[in-house]
Amino acid sequence: MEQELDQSLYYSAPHARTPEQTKKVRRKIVMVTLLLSAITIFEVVIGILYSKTHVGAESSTWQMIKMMYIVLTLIKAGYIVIVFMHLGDERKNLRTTILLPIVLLVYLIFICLFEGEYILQYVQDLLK
Amino acid sequence: MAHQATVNAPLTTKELWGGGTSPFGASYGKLMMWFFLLSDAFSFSTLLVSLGYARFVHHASWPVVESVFYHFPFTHAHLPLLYVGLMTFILIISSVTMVLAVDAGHTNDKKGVVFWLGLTIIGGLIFVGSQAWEWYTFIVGNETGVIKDVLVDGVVVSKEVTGANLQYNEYGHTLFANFFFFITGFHGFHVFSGVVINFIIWLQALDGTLERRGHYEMVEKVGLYWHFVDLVWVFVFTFFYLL
Repeated sequence: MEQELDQSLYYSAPHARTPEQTKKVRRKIVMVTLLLSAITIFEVVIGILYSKTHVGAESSTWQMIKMMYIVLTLIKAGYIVIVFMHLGDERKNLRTTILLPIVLLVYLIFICLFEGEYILQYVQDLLK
Repeated sequence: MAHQATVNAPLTTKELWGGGTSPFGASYGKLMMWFFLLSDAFSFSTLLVSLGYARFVHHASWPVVESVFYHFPFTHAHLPLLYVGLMTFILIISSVTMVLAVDAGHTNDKKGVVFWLGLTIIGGLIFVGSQAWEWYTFIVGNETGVIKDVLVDGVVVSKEVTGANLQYNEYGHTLFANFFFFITGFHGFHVFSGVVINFIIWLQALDGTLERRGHYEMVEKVGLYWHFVDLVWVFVFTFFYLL
């Protein structure tokens, strides 16, 4: 009965920690912060130096920068979810429950972008 | 705390799902926060995917985003992407202070929770303020407008357009401004509610409510929400501003 009243008590009890453990946790947070900041600064610098108008939207350089942006974004997202949101410290079945449905989005992105390209082509052919 | 020791030990399937324990090793509230965030992730994903769809269809009339967002407060210099980069940085830093608040909560450090959660609230307020400034700059636009064919009361007329509204804007396709308002607005409202929720929990930490409860799990739950808001901005930053 008591467990139902304040269930959180069993899973969120204060952890006793040695100063070394605290130091380790702090260092991890600082490292991830530096990484996320560095990636953001890098993205902005690349965006200014190699802007879309500068290199041309159709050029292979811009295609490469685009892919790089997406990869860097996924890296940033991974660090936020796994370290900051502590999903890496959760049980495996919780991790799977949260991450597996995201796979559906791959299909949504696929159909929407292909459909968009088709409509563009269709309208261009119509106006010819 | 007999249960605490067994939480992270490996359990057999029967022990896990046989009742009397949480199969996920997490409390009801935290689990529901995760499920809410998952559904919210789908809302934002559909917005960003439809943005991608619109950009593919209106390839030619979509503006180059860095030629739209180049303003910076207190200067007239042409600084593309710098202000949005700064906003991203502010949100990441407020996420870090939130991590430190959650960490302080794990060791029942009331002073630490109040300090770091307070900084997080300030970071959130700076971000919302920055977004308001960006909306203002976007809506007012440049001094020189653009002559465009726009639909007014069902008739197409040629008209000088400055700034942006939901019908037309000087930058490019109508959908560009619509997606800007919708995506950053939806995200900004999330940040605003996050600041309000953080403030409520900050008050509870300050007056000792959480201390009397014996744990700071509420900080962990609002922390999850706050990190999610930061996570969404990382994607908005890439797919709206950078690409």
